[in-house]
Amino acid sequence: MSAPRPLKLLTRTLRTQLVYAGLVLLAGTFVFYFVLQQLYYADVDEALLLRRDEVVGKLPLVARPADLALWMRLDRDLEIRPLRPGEAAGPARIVPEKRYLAAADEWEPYRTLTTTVRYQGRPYRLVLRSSLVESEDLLAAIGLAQAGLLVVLLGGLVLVQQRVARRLWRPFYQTLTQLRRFRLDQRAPIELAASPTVEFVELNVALTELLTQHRRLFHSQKEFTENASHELQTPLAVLHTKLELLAQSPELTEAQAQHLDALVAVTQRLSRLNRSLLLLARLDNQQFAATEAVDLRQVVHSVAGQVQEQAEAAHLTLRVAAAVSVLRQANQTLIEMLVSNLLVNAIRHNVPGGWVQVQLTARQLTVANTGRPAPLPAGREFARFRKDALSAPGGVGLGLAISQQIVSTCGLTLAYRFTAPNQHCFEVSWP
Amino acid sequence: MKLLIVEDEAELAASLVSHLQAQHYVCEVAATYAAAEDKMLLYDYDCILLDLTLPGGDGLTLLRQLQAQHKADGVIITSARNELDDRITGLHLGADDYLPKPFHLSELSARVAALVRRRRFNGANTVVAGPLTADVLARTVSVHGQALPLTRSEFDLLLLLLSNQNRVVMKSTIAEHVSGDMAEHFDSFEPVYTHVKNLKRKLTEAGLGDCIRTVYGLGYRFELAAV
Repeated sequence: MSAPRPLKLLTRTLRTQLVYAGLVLLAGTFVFYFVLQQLYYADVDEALLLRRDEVVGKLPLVARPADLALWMRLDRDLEIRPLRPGEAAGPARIVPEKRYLAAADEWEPYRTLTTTVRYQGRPYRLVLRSSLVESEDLLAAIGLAQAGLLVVLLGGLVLVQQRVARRLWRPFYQTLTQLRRFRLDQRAPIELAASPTVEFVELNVALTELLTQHRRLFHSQKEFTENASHELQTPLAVLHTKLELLAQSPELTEAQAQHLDALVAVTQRLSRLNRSLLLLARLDNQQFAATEAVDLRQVVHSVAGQVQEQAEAAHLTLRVAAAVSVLRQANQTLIEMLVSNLLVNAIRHNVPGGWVQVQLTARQLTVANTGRPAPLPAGREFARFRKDALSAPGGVGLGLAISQQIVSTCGLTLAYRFTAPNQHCFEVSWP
Repeated sequence: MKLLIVEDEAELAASLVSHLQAQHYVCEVAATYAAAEDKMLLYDYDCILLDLTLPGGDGLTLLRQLQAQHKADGVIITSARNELDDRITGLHLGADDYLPKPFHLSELSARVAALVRRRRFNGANTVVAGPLTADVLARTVSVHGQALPLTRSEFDLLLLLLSNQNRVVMKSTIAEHVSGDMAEHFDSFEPVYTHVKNLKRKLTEAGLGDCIRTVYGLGYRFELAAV
């Protein structure tokens, strides 16, 4: 089951408001109509009662019962006849009634008053009717007008509410935009805009506090890595020099020399690891701000020259195709490090008799090499300290992570492609 | 030849003294900013090895003072702060060289020797070992007056070995000296073996005999005793 699609706060409030307004509108129209109707009926009923009194008052003026028929013919809404046997004499009753109107070929609503009157000493049934045809139309018209008024009123309220809400929530959306742009490693601390609403002021204060704390934590962690690496340099230097002094010992036996050799190798690796960590920390801290125009072609040729010997020692063919001169605004040291990392990587993870192909075009730098049959694990190519069947022995496992970090620092992109079985390819592209 | 070692880490200072004294340098140690300041301003040294992070102050300030006093001491900065800025500032303030920690002692000897040569024998910058003469500026070598053509790497290697005569130079030191920073990325010492083999052959052919000794796969030692 998937969660319902989230809606904007304003949409949600609006929706609730609209539903409520609709209900009020609908119910209100009916209730209003009903109330009006009742009022009108009461009015009609009162008129009927008055008319009865009038009829009762005029009855003695009618001399003969036959004149009653004439009266009835003159006044279609009046009916007066002797009380039939079995009909109960009672007080006046007013009921709604539908009557067929031949002229209009319709059933029309009426209010009908039924009562008993005395005429010439005998009980008579008096029925008075009042047509509601016109009143129905009037009621409908009033109801519609009322409904229209309600629509305008509620619609207007909703619109006003929306405008007010939008203005009220603006600081919230501003904060949201700022949060979205916020980076833990950004130089400047976050400054959230002021707001006239207490809740938003409190939200901003809480957020600023939280982010400042996080930033401090992040930086202290970076600083820690950097300091730790710094502090390790001196003990490493002691270790290194002591081993070198030990090597000068004239009584050194071959077995001791072998142990010493292993120790030297490990110490070297340790300082290499430490240097890499330091570099990563400094890259994370954006400590390579200075840029200059770097000639990539020159860097490629120079680095290729430096690794040539190692490529030969590993029985590899190093091919460099960098004819075009590409100038990029970047940090020279970082670019050199990037190119050398990629080349070293291509040489280290190769197979005897293989090749390394470096190609520089106006759009990108490609380093392709023969190597292991399987591709690097997707998504983890640039992970730090990636250890798997594919990592070369003796490696620190930071080369590609450093490359990735350099690339993002310099605003370039680095992509890995597994072009063919045994063929790996790294591409540095620039915008 | 008098050296001042400004280093707050006692063990490291001891190593440096032990190594440099074996090469007949007179060494003095200053472990704090104040001690370094006193010694630097009172005495003259052929070379000062200067650590930048010192108890009591920054090594770069010492360098500034030295420059203000127009002292002619050669300075090699040895620092754990391998920052490009520090390096540039240091060299700008008159330091002659910058060696980031951790470093190889043999490499340090080569740098100190080069610095001392530059300062003592300005112009004629040559290293002499028996019948062998290496001209550092012209990058040429002659044995018994006969020119011996060497590649760039072989010349660098020879100079390193000459600066550390009768001492074991580790193969990792050679790798870094010859291939630069690139060497640290490779575990293979194949290029070192190749260069040493070629240099050995050329020196033997020139009549120097077997002057480069292999020390149990650990490194190499240059000694002319055989001649």
